[in-house]
Amino acid sequence: MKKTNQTFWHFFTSMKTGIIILGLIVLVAGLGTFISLDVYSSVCFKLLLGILCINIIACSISRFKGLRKRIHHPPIPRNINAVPHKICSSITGTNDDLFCNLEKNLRSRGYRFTSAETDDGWAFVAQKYRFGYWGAYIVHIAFVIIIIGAMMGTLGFSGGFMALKGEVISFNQIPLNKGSATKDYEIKINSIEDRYLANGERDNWYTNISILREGKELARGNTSVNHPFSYDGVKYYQSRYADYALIVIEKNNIKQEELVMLGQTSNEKEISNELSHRFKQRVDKSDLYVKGLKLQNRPIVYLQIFVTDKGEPSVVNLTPGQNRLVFDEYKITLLELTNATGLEIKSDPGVPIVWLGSGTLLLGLIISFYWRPLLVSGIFTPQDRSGTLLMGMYAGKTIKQNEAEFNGILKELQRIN
Amino acid sequence: MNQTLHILTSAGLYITLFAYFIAMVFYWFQLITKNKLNGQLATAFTVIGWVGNTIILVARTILAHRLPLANGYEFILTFCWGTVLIYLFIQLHYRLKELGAFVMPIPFLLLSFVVITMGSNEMIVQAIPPALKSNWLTLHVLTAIFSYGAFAVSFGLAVLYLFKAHSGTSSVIKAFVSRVPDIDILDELSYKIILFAFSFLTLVIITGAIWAEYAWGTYWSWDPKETWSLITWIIYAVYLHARLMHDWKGKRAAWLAIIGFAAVLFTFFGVNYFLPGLHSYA
Repeated sequence: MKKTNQTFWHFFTSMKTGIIILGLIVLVAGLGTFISLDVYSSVCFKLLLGILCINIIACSISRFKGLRKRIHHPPIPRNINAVPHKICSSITGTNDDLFCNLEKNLRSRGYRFTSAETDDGWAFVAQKYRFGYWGAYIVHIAFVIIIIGAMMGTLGFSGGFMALKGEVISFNQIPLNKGSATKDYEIKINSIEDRYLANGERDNWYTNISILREGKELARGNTSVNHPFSYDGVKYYQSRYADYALIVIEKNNIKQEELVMLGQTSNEKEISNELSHRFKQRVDKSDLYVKGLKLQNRPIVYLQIFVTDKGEPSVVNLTPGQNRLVFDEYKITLLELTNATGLEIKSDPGVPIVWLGSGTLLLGLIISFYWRPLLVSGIFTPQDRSGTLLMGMYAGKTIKQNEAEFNGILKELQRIN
Repeated sequence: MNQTLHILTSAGLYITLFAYFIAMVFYWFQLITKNKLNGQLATAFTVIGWVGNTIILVARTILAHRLPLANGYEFILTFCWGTVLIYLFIQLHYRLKELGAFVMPIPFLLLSFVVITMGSNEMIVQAIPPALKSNWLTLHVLTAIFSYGAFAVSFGLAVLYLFKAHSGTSSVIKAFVSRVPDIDILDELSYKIILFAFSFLTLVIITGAIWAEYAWGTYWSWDPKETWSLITWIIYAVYLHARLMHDWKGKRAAWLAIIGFAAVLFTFFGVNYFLPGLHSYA
C-alpha cells in the first residue's frame, strides 16, 4: 500500500507528468479549434485539466520544504567541490582581512551574508534577491487559484430575455440556459436607447433598468455594451436591440394591433434591397404578412405588405400617427415606434477568484523574471599566515549578467586587499 | 484636412513597405559583404520605414478619433511598428546589425500581405461597434503589439543563433556570421526577450479575459483565438520551464523559439483566415 502511494506521489510530483499533460492539453485544445465537436466540455478534457491541477498542487507541496530551506538556510560549502564552478575565481589574503572585506563588500551590495567555520578555515554563503525563488512557486499557486475560480463558475447561472420598454419581468420568469436561481424581485425596463454620436457613428445601446420588490425600487441603473449593470451578484449585459412598430390593421371595420420588428437603414436608396433581405412576419390569424424597416435616427418606417393571392407586395412609408390604404381594403396605421432590449444575465462566483489568480500569476512572473536570486559562496583555506579564498557565483540562466556582478565583487575585493 | 490624411496613409503605406524592403536587402548585403556602409544604409532605411509607419498610425488615429487597433489592417500596421521599434532598440543597445537580416523580412512580408490581399474596404477608416469601445481592448491590443513584436525579434535571434551554431559545418555560413556575437550572447539575449514577450503575452490574455467579461460576461469561451493564444503561451512556458529546470539552451531553445513564433503567426493569421470565432474583426 505504502509503495502504491509512493508511486502515485512520484507520478503526480513528476515534472515529466506535467509536461506530458500540458502537451496533451495543447494537442486536444488545438484539435478542438478545427473540429465542430465541443471538446472543451468533454470529460476527457476536464480530466486532463484536473490531472494538471493535481500535478501542480503535488509539485508545490513537495517543493515547499526545499524551497524554504534554500531561501532561509542556503547550504554553506563544506569543501571546494561544493563551490559554484561555472563562474569562479580565487583570491589570496590574510584570514581576518579577507573575511572582513568580503563580508563588508557583500553586505554593502545588499547580500545576506552567512558564514561558518570549517576544519581549517571558514566558508560563507551570500544571497541577494533571495525571495525571487518564490516567483516560480507563486506562478504555480496562481494556476491552482485560477482553476478553482473556473470550477466555482459551475455554481453560477446564466440566461437571457427580450423585453419592451416599460415591461416588468419577474426574475424567476427569465429562462436560464445554465444553472438555477430564484430571486424575489422583478426587473423593469425603464428606457431603451440606440444612441448615435454627432458624426453619425453608433455610440452604444443603453437600457435603463430598475430592480423592484413589491413595487418598491431597490436599485436603478444603466447597462450598455461593455458596461454591465450589477445587482445582488447578478450582472445584466446588453446583448441585443430591436426596433418595433406598433401598427393597427383595419379591414371591414375590424381592427387588429400588431407589433412589427424593424430593421434599420441609413440609406433611403437601399430600402428595397434591405427589405428583400428581411423575413416576413405573419400578422396573427390573418392572410397578411409584413416586413419593416426604420430609417436610422429618423421616425420614418417603411412597411412592405404581402397579402396571399394579391401578387406583388405594397410598400408604404409612415411616421407615427399616419395611415395608408393598401390593396384598397387594408388601412394601416402606425400607432407608435417602440424598441426592445435583449439582456443576458450572468452570475459567476468564480470571477473574483480568477482575477485574484491572474494577478497572482503576473506577480509570480515579475518576481520570477525580474527578481533573480544571486548566490555567492566560497571556502577559505589557510596556508601559513595567509590563505586562498575560492569563491564562485551560481550561474543562473543569465550567465553573462551574473558574471558581470561576480567580477564587480571580485574587483572590489582585489582593490581593498 | 481629412483628404490630406487619407493621402498620407495611402502613400505612407507604400513608402514604409519600400523602405522596409530596401532595409532588408541592405541587411542581407551587409551579411554577405561585411561592408559597413551597407549596414548603415540598412539602419537608415529601417528608421525611414519606421517613421513612415508611425506617420500612418498617427494619421489614422486623427482620422478615426481613436487608436488604430480595431481591425486586422490596423493591427498588422501596429504589429510591424512594434516589431521594428523593438528591433531598433536591440540593434542600438547590443550593436547587432546582422539580426536585421532575419527580423526585417517579417514587417516587409506582413505589409506586402496587406497590400496584396486587403481591399480598400479593409483599409478605410470605419466606425467601430460598441463591443470594441473599451479601454481593456486598447490595453489588450497594445500589450499584444509589444509581445508579438518581441517574439518576432526572438525568432530572428533564434535563426541567427542556428546560423552561427552551424557555421562550423559550412565555410559559407561561417563567412556570413563571422562578425555576429558569440552564440552564448545570442542565446541569452533571445531568452531575455522571450521573458519580456512572455510577460506581455500573459497580460494580453488577462486583459482580453477582463474585456470579454465586461462585454459578454464570459472571461473565457474557448474561442479559437483564445485557444491559440493559450497554446502559444504554453509553448513559451515550456521553453522557460525547460530552460529554468533542465538547462535547455542553445539549439533546442532556438528551435522552441521558432516553433513559438510559428504559433504566434498562426494565432494571428491562421485563426483569422481559417477558423471563425469572436475575433473575426482582428
